[in-house]
Amino acid sequence: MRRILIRRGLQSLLVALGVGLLAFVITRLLPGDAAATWAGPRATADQLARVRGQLGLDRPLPEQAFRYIADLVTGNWGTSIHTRQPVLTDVSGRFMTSLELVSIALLIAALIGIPMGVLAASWRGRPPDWIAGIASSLLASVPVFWLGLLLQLLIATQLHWLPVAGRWDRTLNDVAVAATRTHMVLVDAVLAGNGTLFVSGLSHLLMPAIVIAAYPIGLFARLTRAGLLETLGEEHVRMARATGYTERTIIWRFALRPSMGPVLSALALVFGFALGNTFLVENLFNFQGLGSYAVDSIAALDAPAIAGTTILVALAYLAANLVVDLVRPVMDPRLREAGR
Amino acid sequence: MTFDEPLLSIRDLVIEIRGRRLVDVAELSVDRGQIVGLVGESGAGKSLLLSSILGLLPTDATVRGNIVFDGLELRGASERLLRSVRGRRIAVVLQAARAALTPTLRAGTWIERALVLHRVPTPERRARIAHALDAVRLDPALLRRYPYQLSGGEAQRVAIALAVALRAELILADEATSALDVTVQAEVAELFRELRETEGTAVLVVSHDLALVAGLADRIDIIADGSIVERGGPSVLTDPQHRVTRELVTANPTLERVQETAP
Amino acid sequence: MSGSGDAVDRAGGRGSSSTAPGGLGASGPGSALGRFIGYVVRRPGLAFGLAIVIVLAVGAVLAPVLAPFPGDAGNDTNLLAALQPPGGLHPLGTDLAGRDIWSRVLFGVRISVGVSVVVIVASLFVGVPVGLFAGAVGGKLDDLLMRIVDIFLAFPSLLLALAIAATLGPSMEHAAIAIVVSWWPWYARLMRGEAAAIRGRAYVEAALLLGIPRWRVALRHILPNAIGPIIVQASLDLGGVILTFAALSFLGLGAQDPTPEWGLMVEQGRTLTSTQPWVALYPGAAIMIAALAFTLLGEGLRERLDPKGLARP
Repeated sequence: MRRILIRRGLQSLLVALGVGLLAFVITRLLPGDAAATWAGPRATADQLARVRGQLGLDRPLPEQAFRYIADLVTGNWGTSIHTRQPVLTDVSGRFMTSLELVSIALLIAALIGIPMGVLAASWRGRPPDWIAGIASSLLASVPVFWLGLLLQLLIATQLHWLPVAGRWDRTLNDVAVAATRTHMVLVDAVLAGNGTLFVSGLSHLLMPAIVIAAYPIGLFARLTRAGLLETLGEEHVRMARATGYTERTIIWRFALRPSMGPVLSALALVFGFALGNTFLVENLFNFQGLGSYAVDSIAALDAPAIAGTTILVALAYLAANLVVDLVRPVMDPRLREAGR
Repeated sequence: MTFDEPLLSIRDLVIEIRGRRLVDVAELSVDRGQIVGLVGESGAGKSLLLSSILGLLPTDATVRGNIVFDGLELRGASERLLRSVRGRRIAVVLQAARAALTPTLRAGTWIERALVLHRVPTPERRARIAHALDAVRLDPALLRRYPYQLSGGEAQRVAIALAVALRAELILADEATSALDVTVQAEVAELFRELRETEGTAVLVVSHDLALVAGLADRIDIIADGSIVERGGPSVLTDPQHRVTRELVTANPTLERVQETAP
Repeated sequence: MSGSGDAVDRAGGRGSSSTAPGGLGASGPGSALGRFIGYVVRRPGLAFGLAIVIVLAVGAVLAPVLAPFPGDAGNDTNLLAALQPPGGLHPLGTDLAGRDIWSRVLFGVRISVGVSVVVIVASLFVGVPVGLFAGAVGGKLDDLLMRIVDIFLAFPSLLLALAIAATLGPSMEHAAIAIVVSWWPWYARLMRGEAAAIRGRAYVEAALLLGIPRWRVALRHILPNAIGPIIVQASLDLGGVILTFAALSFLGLGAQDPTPEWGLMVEQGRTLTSTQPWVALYPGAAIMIAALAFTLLGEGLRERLDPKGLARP
């Protein structure tokens, strides 16, 4: 099995490379002059020409693409045209911020969605089941941006329970910036030993996380319910009943774990999707994450930055899938047979 | 509760599902340490009967009659009572040996949890398991395996080991050998006989395999269309009275050999 | 205890005999329509979804007749009546330009549902043949095609839409193209999975041995059997595309003013939520209701058409 995983890993890398290449090519095809962004609005024609040469923009496209890939593989992700920083630095920092948000969102989704699914399966056919079903369908249908606006209106503006936007309280700005190491406010706060920052960061993360979590909650609930019902029909559950366990114990301690396979796969999927689509939430809640970086890059026709962003998101998605494929046999020994 | 009375006594048992009467048994009993075979074709109602003993029928089934186990009325009893009997006093061995064990647990863990459930004191557990493994002749190393890593025979032994470890007085074997290889079938049958000697465990063997039951049971009940049509010792096979019994016997070529070796 | 005493009663529908793949009717008496109605009635979720879809269809077709201010969905503005609260002439209030929100929401059905249908059909057109081909032939070609599909799958759809909008300018058509490019791989994957599974079956092998050309085997044997999950997926995706398209318009990358697209309308009410919440509230609710209808429809059909749950929820 390890061989299969290594092969999958290499394939994933190739795919990520393919994604990056695609992104690079698309960006170079966009109309507009990246050199102009770099050089600034007051550059002379000579200066522009020189910058163009520096950035390699005067070479034929296939050559540019080839050079880019070659650089990528050696670890040089280029320099961002609009920030003038190494793309890798830019992108990894922003990535961490988005990662923090998405991780908390998925944690919330799992903590609410899975028990909801268990409830639906336990009370199959009765009110808790179809209420959970309606809730799942609703959550899958609600527009993220609308939900965000609603929550902002109700929870922040009306009830003042949570802050409207931003990553931390404005008064903590200096502290937060100084503490920035991993670009994850919670981790940085812990590292800096600053409790206030931690609490502030957490309260600012909650609403956007809930908005992102809405759809996955319904998804996990539905998958858990289906998986559990299927497992509950299996022989080993009958055996457990005949051994004297209570229905409750059977559900939580014997049937749940074998049912989690599809939920894990969905987790990887949602993870990748959420990471790649954070812009909407970042826009609403004023988060400086990967999404806003991508948008700025597109506006500046910043090919290396766009490509770098895309590759990283693709890598994360592929990595998540690999991890899930690794974890599933651990959770369910039936999958461990050779050549699964 | 004297020792003369049967361990399990079923009387006037009627099981209906959605208006269809599927089981109608006037009397069936199992004495302590007795091995009783319940033989019939698929759909004759044998499995339903077994399920009803432990109260594990589908919710749309109605049950009437008496199921008395060691003085306890099990039919219609509370879940609490039933749970105290399940596993601990009446154990079950199913047809799909490996599928009956929880796939995410090692065999040893699976057994241990059941011992914990039925409140076997911690110091006793290890001894009981060791004794049980010895009784079913199972290599202790196999306890570290997951069900998918066990053979059918090994998995079946794990289930029987649990019954022994819990000191169950009665084992309900629901087609316990049907999915096993022929040689393994004989081993399991032999195991039941041994357990009767060493542990005093009674066994109610449900099967469609007349030959197997013939070499194993003290008494054989033939069931057809939900009712017992004939009953007797192994002579039931050498001298079948009822039509159904005759059909079962003639349909089974290996029985000729059994008839010759019958005690 | 084994098998016959199945303690779990499957929620209606499974009781009938073998499910004909891709078909809603089981064997038995009664017309196909009658069976379909019976199937629907037993599932309140599906019934509700179907009812809403029908209402949407009616709304889309009859919008010019039902809307009190059809011009407001076009270029009409009425600044004097700007930001009226719901009531009286304007059941859902008016927006910043004085346009009747109810009329705009009504006309919005055509746009949202129309675009979604076009997008899904286009995605199917691209994805299904690719997947069918890959699954039917197998081998290295299959691998190659699936790697390409993987690349598209891994590509963040929103960024793609942003890039396209940046290049070609934001518009509904461009947003639709962006969505199709992100969506088709799912159908390719789904189709390929099913095709690969069916390809291994005995009757397919038999057909090939008999000399029936591969393409015909693919079309007549593989495709019909795989169509069930695809129908479910398509229905669920109608809801998903409605949401995605609205999101793109919300970001300014899709429909542009004065098009009465729901996502755009929410964006127009974005800064007014605390004082004039109706401007953003009702269009958003419309998005949710439409998406919900198709989601319920897809989920309701799943039991019959996609019992193995291959379609991604």
